[in-house]
Amino acid sequence: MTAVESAPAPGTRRAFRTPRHLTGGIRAGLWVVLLVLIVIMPLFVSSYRLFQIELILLYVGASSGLNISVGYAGEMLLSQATVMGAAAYAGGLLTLNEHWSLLASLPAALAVAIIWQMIIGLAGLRIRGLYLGLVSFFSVLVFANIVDLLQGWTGGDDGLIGVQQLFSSQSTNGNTYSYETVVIIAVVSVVVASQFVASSWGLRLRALRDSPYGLAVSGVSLTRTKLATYVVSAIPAGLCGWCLAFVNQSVSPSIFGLSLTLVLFAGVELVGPGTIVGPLIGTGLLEIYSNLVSPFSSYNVLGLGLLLAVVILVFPNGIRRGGGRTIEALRDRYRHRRSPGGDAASAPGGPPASATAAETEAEQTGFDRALVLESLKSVEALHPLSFPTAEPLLKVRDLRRSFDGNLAVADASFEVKAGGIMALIGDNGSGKTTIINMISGLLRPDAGSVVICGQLATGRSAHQVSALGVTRTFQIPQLIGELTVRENVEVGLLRAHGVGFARGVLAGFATWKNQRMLRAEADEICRLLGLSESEIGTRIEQLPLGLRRLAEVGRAIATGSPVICLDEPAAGLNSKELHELGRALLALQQSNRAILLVEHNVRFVMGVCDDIVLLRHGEVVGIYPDVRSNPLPEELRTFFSNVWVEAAE
Amino acid sequence: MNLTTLGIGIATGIALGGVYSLIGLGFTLVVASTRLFLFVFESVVALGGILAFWFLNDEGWPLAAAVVAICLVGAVSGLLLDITVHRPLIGRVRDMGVAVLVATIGLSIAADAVLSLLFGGDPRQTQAYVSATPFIIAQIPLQWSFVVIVSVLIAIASGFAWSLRHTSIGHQLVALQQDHEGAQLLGVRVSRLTTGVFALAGLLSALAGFLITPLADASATTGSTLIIPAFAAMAVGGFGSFTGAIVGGMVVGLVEGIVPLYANVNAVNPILLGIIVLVLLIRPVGMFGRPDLVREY
Repeated sequence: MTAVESAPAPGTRRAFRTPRHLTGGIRAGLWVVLLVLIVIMPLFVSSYRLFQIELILLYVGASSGLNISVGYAGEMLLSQATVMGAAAYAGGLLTLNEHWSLLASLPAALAVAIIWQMIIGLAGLRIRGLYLGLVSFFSVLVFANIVDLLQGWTGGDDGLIGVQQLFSSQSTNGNTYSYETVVIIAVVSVVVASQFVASSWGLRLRALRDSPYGLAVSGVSLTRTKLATYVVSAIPAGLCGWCLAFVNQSVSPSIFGLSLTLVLFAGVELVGPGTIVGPLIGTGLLEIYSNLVSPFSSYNVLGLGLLLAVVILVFPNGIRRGGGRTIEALRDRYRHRRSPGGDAASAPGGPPASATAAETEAEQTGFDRALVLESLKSVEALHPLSFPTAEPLLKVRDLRRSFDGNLAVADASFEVKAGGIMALIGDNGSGKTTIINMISGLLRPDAGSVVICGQLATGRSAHQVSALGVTRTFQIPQLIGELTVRENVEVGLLRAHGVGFARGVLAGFATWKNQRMLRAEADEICRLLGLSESEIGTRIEQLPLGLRRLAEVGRAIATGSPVICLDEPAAGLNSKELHELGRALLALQQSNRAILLVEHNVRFVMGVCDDIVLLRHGEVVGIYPDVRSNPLPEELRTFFSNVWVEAAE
Repeated sequence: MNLTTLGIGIATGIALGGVYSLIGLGFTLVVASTRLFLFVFESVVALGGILAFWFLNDEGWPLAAAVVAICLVGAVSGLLLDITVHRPLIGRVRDMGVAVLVATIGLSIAADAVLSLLFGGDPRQTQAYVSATPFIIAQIPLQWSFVVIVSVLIAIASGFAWSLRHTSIGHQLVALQQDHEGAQLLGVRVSRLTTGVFALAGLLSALAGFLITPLADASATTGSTLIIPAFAAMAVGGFGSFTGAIVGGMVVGLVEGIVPLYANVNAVNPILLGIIVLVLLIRPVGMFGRPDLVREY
């Protein structure tokens, strides 16, 4: 029994679940009922309650924007409250002082919101995590100061008084019209956010969050992805902020301060960051609570704070995820009772089970080239790439890099031809990974050059280097844990086949054809790697290391790059996975690609590779062509025997 | 505008900077050893001020007893935070940093609310711990409390620097900061050490809350107003660096001390934001920051 077979098979688990389309139907039905209830609310409630509901709807709408940046893209851009504020001031000032019409002020307000977000996000292009959180958090304070500084214009601390209503409450049904306008604005806000992530941008944002390196080496610009995130997250905030000015009939800086920031952020994190409905429910609950208790009481703050703390401590990954986990665990226990013979290794989320890990260790070197070549005949080969084979696809010249004065790589030179598989071997610390980092543009060399497909790669950023035709995998796989193998392979397709920004924002739901195409291509690549249907549809975090490595190789293949660098792809693979990996590499070789791999598994290296580069202390000891046909040179034999001795000990 | 005014501005700035540095040191201790940001230490700062009012004004305790008690309460709250917020989350969460940040933001909101319910919403003037009569150097009247704040900062900072280099606990702490797992493998009792770090951070925060009382009145919101410049200080100086917390604190303090003399007081925060963005654009990890804390990929 190998780790592959013991991986959880979603098919079997689904047997105990309500059929998917049915739950989907029920869920959609519930949402329609809720929406209808919201729409007909004016029939039941007083005008004050209606006003409260309007506020809740607008904050919920805005939270869907924050969810884009914080939940999906993992960018801690906490300036959402002030983005609302900027739009509110724009709307209020333009209508009140400049006498613009309501409708004309909307696009202007939206533009102001986006520009303000970009100014704050500018810092985010170079920083991440806590730092970005801090800078954007600071902008919340600065907002009030700026309003004060522009007192003559904005009314300062007292705020902007006398802003018109959406529809005058004196007119017949004015209140109802206003309310329904708010509903439309909130729904549009949610739709804008949802359809953006429904397109291939959803995948791109999650890759930015969980595997930015993986995204960059797939040729996608991190900077552009961030910029897109900032713009899209500002749209719902802009819409709702603009609307808020007319609902409150005033704009004051205190509304867009710390407490709104915290409520929005908490609302997003509370239930299910990175899902569409989670933040809506979270923010909705928080706002309903605070309106019930009265927003200005100390008890409101006390309750909100405690709720937030307790919920995070109980469900640290968000209620939805936490609750989902619990249900999965229960279901699994049930399943085990049903089938006592079921093996323990199949627990979901289980890391490479220890029982199989030992087997993996034993079988690790079992790689049979002949068997691989035999099985390859049954696979339709990849579309062969046509390259002038005379010119090497990858040329490394005098590459040099030191860390704090320690020379890690000293003037390394070698080249890999189309259809060649070259291995970089050497002891730990001999500079293998450093060389791959420099080739893929993640690390700048101190001197020397890398030429990919005839073009100089040195000095470009990682995604530009990748676009020249090189991609790579990592020692620690850089994948999106909550997504399936298929979706992770799709990341590799984003550069060539992802939809454009405008299509994502304006017609994200209409890109289903593109989605289907991405799926189909990713499926095909996964099958080439010998992955089963159930493995393809399993979340990465539930898979053992070996399959994660294969998923990364799949992503590399998906980019269509003629040069592929693999950093210890065979580490942690069992014999079946090794076989599949070897098969994929030989198939890539036959399609005329150039492959460079760093590897410790000698049998695998000898079975797959044509040429070997031996490194010692950052220097190239020797380049040995055609190691399988020529007798093994002395240096290699010494190196290999040392590896064997170490392995035996 | 004359030199005396500028002198007062600079002195006030250095004193403010001292307080921000002290608050920053508490945060930095925790950030450097666990990479976590416990927002709730701002409530401990507020608590320090409120306890000072309670012990000194209401109960009339001797100064020394009050200081000891405040430090103790701070240390205990740090300890409790480790037990209630930090430990329960270990190993259960995808993104520990965000979970701890959000949970402690919640806690600090709740804690501030409790403090304001117990203490009342209005800020109160605490009895000064040193003479309020200024002394004069070069025509510049200076507060004794400034001297105390800066001396305490220097004492703590040099004590830190010394013990990190010369004591076993200090060495273990350095190991923990550089490589969490490595330290564990070397036999450092990581969880015990972390608890100690939390307690020390709590102590520093409460002490900072006490020391600031001559500059800011005691209230439930003192912490949340002080934490923002303290954050700014850490961002400029670099998260996770003790030197950074002190230098950054001084930069922010000086901006706050000097800018209002020449411009609208509302310009302080925008200027600080400008400085932060500028520093981070040039050096994304801050002036003395550790790259591994910022680039998690």
